Amino acid sequence: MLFNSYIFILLFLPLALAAYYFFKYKNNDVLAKVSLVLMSLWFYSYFHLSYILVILTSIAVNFIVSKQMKKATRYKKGLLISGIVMDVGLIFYYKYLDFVLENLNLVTGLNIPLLHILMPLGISFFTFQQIGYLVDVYYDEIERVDLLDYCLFITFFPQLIAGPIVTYNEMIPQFGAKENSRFSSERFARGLYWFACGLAKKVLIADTLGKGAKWGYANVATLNGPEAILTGVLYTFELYYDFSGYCDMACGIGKMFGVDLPVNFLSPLKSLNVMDFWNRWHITLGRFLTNYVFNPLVRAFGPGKKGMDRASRKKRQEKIGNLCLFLTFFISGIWHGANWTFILWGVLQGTGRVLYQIFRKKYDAWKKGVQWTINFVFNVFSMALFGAPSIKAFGQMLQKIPVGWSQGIREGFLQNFDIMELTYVEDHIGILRSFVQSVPQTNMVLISMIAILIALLGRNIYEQKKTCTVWTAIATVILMVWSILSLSSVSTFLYFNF
Amino acid sequence: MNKELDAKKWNRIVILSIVLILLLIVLATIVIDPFLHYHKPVKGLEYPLKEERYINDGLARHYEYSAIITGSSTSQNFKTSQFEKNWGVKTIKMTYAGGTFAEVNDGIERAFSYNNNIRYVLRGLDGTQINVAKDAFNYDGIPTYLYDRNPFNDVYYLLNKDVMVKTAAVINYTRSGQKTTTMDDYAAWYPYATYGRENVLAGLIDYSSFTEEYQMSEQDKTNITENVRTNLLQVALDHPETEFLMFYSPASGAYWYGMVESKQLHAQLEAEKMCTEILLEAPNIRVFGFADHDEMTTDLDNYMDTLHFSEKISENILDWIYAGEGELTKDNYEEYYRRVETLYSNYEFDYETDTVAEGE
Repeated sequence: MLFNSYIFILLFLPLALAAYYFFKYKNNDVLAKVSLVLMSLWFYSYFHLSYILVILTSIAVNFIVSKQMKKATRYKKGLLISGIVMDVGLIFYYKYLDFVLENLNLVTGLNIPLLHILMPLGISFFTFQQIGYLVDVYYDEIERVDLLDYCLFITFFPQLIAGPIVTYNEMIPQFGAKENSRFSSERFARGLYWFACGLAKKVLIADTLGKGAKWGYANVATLNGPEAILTGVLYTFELYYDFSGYCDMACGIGKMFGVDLPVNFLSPLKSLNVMDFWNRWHITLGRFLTNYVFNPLVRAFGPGKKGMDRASRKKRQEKIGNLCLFLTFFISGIWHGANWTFILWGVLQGTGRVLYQIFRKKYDAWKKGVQWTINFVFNVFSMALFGAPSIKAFGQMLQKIPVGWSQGIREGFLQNFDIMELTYVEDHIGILRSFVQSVPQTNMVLISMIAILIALLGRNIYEQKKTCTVWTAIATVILMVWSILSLSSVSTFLYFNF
Repeated sequence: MNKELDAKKWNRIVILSIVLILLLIVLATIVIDPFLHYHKPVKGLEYPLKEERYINDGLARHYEYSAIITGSSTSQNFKTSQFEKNWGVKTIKMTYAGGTFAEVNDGIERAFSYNNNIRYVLRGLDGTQINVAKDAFNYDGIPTYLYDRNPFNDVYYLLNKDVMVKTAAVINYTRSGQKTTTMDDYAAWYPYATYGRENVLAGLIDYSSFTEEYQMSEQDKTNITENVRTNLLQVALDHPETEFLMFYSPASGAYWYGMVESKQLHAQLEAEKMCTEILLEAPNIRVFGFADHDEMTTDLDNYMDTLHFSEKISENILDWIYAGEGELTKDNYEEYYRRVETLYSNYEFDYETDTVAEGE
């Protein structure tokens, strides 16, 4: 089930809230949690019934391992490693096995049949969360291992399929907190407002920009220069609005249940450098990778030889730090998907991050406008690669950049921006209609400008202190209604070579 | 505007407003029903009928009719009034631009599920759709939520901003004094068409890469057999009381020129012959072919492109079918395909100059 679906908004969410608060009202915390777990499993299995077996098996195995670890005095590390290996094995099987086989066939000339395994949605997220849990149990950071709490921690539907990636200690205690024992109107109002904003980001902005980006990627071979660049820019903004909208909705729903999920996006397109970007973009992934990949990697390299002088030790640490940074981004690239585009994207981001680390002082001394421009161009470049269907397609896009500038953006591309809201108004106001006819780029420019301005100038909703104002009430109603009505559309079936 | 409200009040106002607005929209959609999903056009309102994939099902559900004109865009210019005059039965049009046999067949089957008094189905068959997988559809996003009796998926119709605009369009259309689109005009494209040699020949390609005669594969034969049996024959066998009038849409001479040049003429006619053979198994299917009317097919002023013919030809076809002209029977169909193959393989087309000029 997706947040941006009728069934979720009109049926699932009201039911889940009603069941949860009913049991809370009856002072039955256990049943409240059970209702949430059951609803979450319904939410997850709605995509595909077989998913439920995968997630339940994964939960069972990790719970048993963590329970054993909690009791163990010996072999604790062995248990941790075996748990992590099983988690990584699961993700490898579902996400990467076909990719590896495909490349093996390509390199060796073998013809090993692909398995075409249906990948359970969100497997990367819930597996990471489970690995984090195992490590936390290993370091005794989790006081009590409880099956219901563990199930809730993994399956809690607001964060199940796309994050934020949370830790056990920041989420589960909130369910038992005194201030969460009853429904809170303030919290609910804030959650509803965040949800409306997130839904609008996803449905009204990301999906509209996505049409242009999708068209660009589908027609890479025939793009001209401005279209190729625009495809990259549109995809960057689409991805941002899509993911940050999703996270706003997740945090909003969490809030409705009285749970504060960690903020995952903090206006990342305002960032000035790669480090700044990763402090604002998918923050919980960055935190996970820092805690569970980067830090262990640095630790694995050790402090260096005894007797090293301070300068050499510092130099060594810097080198190790940069290497580990690069490796962390490389792993992040692999985590994002089984395609060379993601791996190359990881390499690119890692390189950018290391270069920033090395030349930081010089870079930071430049004017902010220059820093922002460099960083934005780098982001668009790497996101265009991230969104490309293949490295070949990305290469084609780059080759197209110097071509056909005199053509401008052509009609096929522009049509993606003729959204009903604009065309309806234009069709009914004569002056506007003739203006758009003479300047066909109007709608594209208008939509792009709105998207850019909100991303660059808009204040983050998490920073807003007052929620229950007349203004937010009007905004919430408009955004909710407008977004719900935009979940479905009427397609135009243009005749093509039947 | 920045005045702070009590959170309880805020929640109540916001949720009630959302629910009320959505309910009003649902109500307006149900009452006006621009795609005729729930009922016939409301008395006193006039409907601009445009989106055939959204409206066809409603027509089949709620209109009174004993005959259907269906097919793809090549059947859109047919006039139900002419059919009614000839055959004397109330007729609706349910065409699907770019529709495959599978999609058109689904529409016919649904019509039978709503109406057990269908006496005639006039169905255009495009030669290009014969050798296609039996479950092929040319489009994604077909509004299947309008095609079933499941009330829950109606939400895609009821809470849909584009439908809202269509609802408003019905009101505006009525206020402007216009009348509900007639079945003659519904989905017809001839008022906007430009016919003639230049447009038709623009659809030709460079055929120099076709060097070998196309041989039909076993897969092709399986596709044709499955497609025709599943999507053309079966519905006729299931409804023996209905007469199915099926005609091959007469493509232009330029199309046949393309077939000759791409060395597919024999294979294409073989496919059509296989199709006819299967169709003639059903006693209630009558098949018609007009490809041998070369005075019509080679006059490119009759065509918009290589496949789409004028409304005048649509009129002629209805009259020919009514008169039984061009009917393919078990006795004559082999001779018909031999005649067509000889006709076009020996025809002296004068399209090359234009094609080369286009290519340059």
